[in-house]
Order: sequence, then C-alpha cells, then structure tokens
Amino acid sequence: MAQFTPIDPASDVVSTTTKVTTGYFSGGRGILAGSNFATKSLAGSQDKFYYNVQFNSEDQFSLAFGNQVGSGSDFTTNVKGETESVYKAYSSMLLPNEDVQTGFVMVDGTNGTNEVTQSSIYVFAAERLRMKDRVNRKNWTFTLSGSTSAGATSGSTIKLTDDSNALAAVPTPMGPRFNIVSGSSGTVHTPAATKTYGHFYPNVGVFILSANSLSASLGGHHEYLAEDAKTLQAGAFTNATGSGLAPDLRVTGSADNAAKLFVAFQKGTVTLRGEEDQMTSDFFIRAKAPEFNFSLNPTFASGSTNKIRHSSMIGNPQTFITEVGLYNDSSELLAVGKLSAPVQKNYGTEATIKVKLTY
Amino acid sequence: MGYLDGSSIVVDAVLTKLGRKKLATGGALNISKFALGDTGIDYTLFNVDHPSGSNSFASAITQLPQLEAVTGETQALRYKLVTFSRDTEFIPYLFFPEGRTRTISGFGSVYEILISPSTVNAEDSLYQFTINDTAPIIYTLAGQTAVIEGSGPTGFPIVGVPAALEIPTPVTLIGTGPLAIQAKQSDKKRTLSVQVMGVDTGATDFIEITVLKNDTVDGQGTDTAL
Repeated sequence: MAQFTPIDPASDVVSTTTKVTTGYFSGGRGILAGSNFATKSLAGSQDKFYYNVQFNSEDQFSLAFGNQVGSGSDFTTNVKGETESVYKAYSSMLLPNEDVQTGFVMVDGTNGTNEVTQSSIYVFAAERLRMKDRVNRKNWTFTLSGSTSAGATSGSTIKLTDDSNALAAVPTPMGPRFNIVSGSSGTVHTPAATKTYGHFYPNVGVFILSANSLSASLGGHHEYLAEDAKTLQAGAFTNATGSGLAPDLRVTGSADNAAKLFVAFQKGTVTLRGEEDQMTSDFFIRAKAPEFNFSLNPTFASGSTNKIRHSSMIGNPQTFITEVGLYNDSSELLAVGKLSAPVQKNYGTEATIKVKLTY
Repeated sequence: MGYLDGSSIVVDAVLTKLGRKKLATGGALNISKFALGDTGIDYTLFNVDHPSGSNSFASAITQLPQLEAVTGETQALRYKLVTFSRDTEFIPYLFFPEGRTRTISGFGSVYEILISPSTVNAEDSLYQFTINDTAPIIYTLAGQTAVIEGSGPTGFPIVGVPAALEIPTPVTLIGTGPLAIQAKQSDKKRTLSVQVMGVDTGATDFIEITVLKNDTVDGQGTDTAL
C-alpha cells in the first residue's frame, strides 16, 4: 500500500526497560515536613480502623493500628474489636500461610536479640497512585517525634529506614521484605539483629511498625489522646507534651493509637519515593529517498482533476512530515507522534526519525 | 569540508485510545509498519515567488510550530504522505456520486442511503469506512472483509447502547462497498460522520450524515432543530 512502510523488528526497533523513581508526594515532592499533613475527615465507623493523611487536600498515605486480640478498641466476648480486624487483615495478607496465626515476629529488644511476636503493630500504607509500581527501597526515611515518657517535656526523635543496602530481601507472598531499622536513607544505625522496628513490603507499599520497638524510643503517655481531642488538623499538636507511641491498650473506643502515629509523623518528616518500571521502545523510522514524496492533503493538489498544485513540484514533489503513526498488521493506528516542526521531504532527501514510545 | 549532520529527529509518541485498549486487555501492540502524515500543512503557503529564492519557498511552512498529537485513532494522521511513481501528476481522490452531505429522512428501509465511493486517478480494491457513532443507525457493507470494534470511554468495545445515552460507539469496516445505512427510530435529530479511505491509495474523505427526527407513525422524518 502506498501509505505504509514495514518496520523490521530486528533492525528498526530497540526496546529497553528503565526504572524511574519520583518523589512520592503530590507534585513529585520527595521530602515533606509533617507540619504539612492533615487527616481527612472520615466517618466515625472508618476512623476506628485507619486515618487517611492528606497534603494539599490530596490523600498521601494511610495509618492504622492493629492488635492481635483487639486491645485498643472497644470489644466484648461476641464482638471483635477494630484493632484485631486490622492486625489480622495485614497478617493474612502479608505473612506466609504457616505464620498467619502466629503474627508478625521480630527482634524488638524486649527479649534480648530473640525474635518476639508483636501483639501490637502500627501500619503505614502507601497510596498506590503515588508509589507507582512499588515504594523505592533504601531511599526513604521516616523521622518520628514525640516524648520519651509520660509527661516528659523534652522531645525525642527517631529516624527509620530499611536495611536493603546491607541484607538480602526475605521472600514473601507479597514480594520482597526488608527490615525497618534505625538509620536514614538506607544507612543502618542499629542492625535488625539487634533491634528491628518493623517490616517493609515495597511491592505493596506497606510498612509494619513494631509498637514495642517504637514505644521504647518514643513512649509518651499511652492515654495521650482523649476522645474529645481527636480533631486532627495541621499543626494542632505542636505544643503538646507527652505524645508518643506507647500503645493505648485499654478496651475502649477512646483509645486512638492510629491518631498517635499521625501525631508522631506530624511532628517529624517523611522522605519517600515511588518507583515505576517504564518500558520504552525506540522505533527508527526511515523515509527513504523515493518514499513519501506525495501527499493526500487536499491543498497538495487543486482543480477538478486534482493535479499537483505547484507546477514546480511535478517530477520533483516536496512534502512536509509533521506526524508519525505506528500501526499493526490490521492497519490499526496504535501510537502517534508529532514533530516539533515540519521536516521537508523530496527525492533528494531521506529522513530518519526516532520515535520513542514509553508505556 | 563541513561535517554532515548525522543526527536523527527524536519524537515522543503517545498511545492512541485503541493502543491503550489493547494493552489494557492484555494484548500486545505488535507494531509492524508506519505511516507519515502532514496534517496541519497548507501547501498554498509554498511560495515559489519568494524573493529569497528556492531555498525559502517552504519557509512559511517549516517555521510553523506544531500542535501536540491527538490520541483518537480516527483523528490522527488525517492526511498521509504516500509513495507514488515519480511521474505522477494527478493525485488520487474519492468520488461519491450521491454527494458528501447526506440526510436520512425517515425510519426504516424505505429511507436507506448508500455510500458508494470510487477512486479517481488510481484504483482501490477495498475501502475502509469508519462510522463515528453507530447508535442511531443500522449499517450493512457490501463485500465486507473485516470489522474493527470501536472503543468507548472505558477503552472496551461498547455495543447495544441506545442512541439516547449519547455515548459514541464507533466502528471501522473494510469492504468493497457500497455502505448501506438505515436510521433507527429516533425522537430527535442526530448527526454522524463516516470517514472513507481507499485501502490501496490512502485517499480519504468524509461524509456528513443527518438523521432526521422520525418517531412518527409512518416513519417519515421531520427536520427539527434538535
């Protein structure tokens, strides 16, 4: 057909896959001070399970608290607590089948360097839209702030990152898993064998944080938040004392541990990137000298016989390339590219156009 | 002696709606050929009287900034560049004996219209008909060899959509022609277009079709504002 030229996949196409990382937060920001965060208003039935954290009125990530038996929420013999639902939802999703009943196990420092089952966990769940294909390992830091103990006026800060720079990943049904340790941007301060602050699942964007490990560093007052102080707006807790992450395990709806984690983030900083695998195919389009020298553009010809408009072009036609279309065997147009300026084509010229298709 | 400019032009391509649909449904793109277009060029701007001589004949064209690519597969590459023998003087074009502005003036087979393209200055063995919205019509293509379902807003084929919902349901058919079109019953006037392309020459043209309001007992249409 006069309008199509075949593409030789052996010589005309080069395909590559590139890992692209971008700042996790709105606008491609990679670092965000906690003072920018606010919680989204959720129905009362939802905020017992999680909080959505926003920046510029856009959801960024979610925070939750889980307990193996429902402590930290209101439950009775026949009614399960919300925190138990959260814990078991994440354990069934993330852990191998044989470990689901046991729960999350890590070295939290309460039994030397032995692993201990974590009865309480804090959860950071990334928004899929922002993390893209996965959360970028190593290049992240959570800076959490609070008080070391109940009523303490002096603040304390802990920085968390993963140990993927030092240890190979643990394979899990949800992809690789890395330890969350003290340190920043992949540089480990205290190794996981000594103290583990949690487990990081980059492919699903979930960070499981040990309540035991965090409360040892940022204890605060376990009943820090009362029910009537639950309106969480940006900057609301900057002057509060006694905030921390010692879990409030009272069996009452007044306990609000996820909100306490929010406060710790709000007083700190988050550095985080999303990661995406971009597949790129470069098509080298070659318009050889005898090809594409005529146009079906109605202004190319004129008159009732549709003769070439300019007599100087008869025998020496001039055309101008502005678009490239890529087609399959069924002549379906699958991709289109536009040149920034028209390229003149005639029998005395050849044009090579590199068409980059990213998907 | 100067250096030859060996650099190539780099263009970022975007997937059309059809391309995205193929990826979304798990299919491969299987790109196997390309075409070049000159949409946006007006050859009357080629000025053989330019005072600076032949090197400047095309300056009004080549200096024109270009718009971004559109992703509708029926809108992109409206005008294609083609390869003919060098001695070609007359460019192929499509001729429609019934005209290019058509009206379906009632409901049913009595008011059926035909679109019968022929190619002048060359020959086409098949024609490709792209109907931008099939909801208000019933169509039959003589000598049909292929059909390509259109894509709706979700990227998946949409069939059986009442015209009243005004969700475009395009379709592309390939055959020898003619294309016969009847109106479905309609309580308002509707318009649609058919893009016709000669498969061999690439010659392309548009047919505008008006379907009159025809929800009458005898099926006779009436020309209303809507």
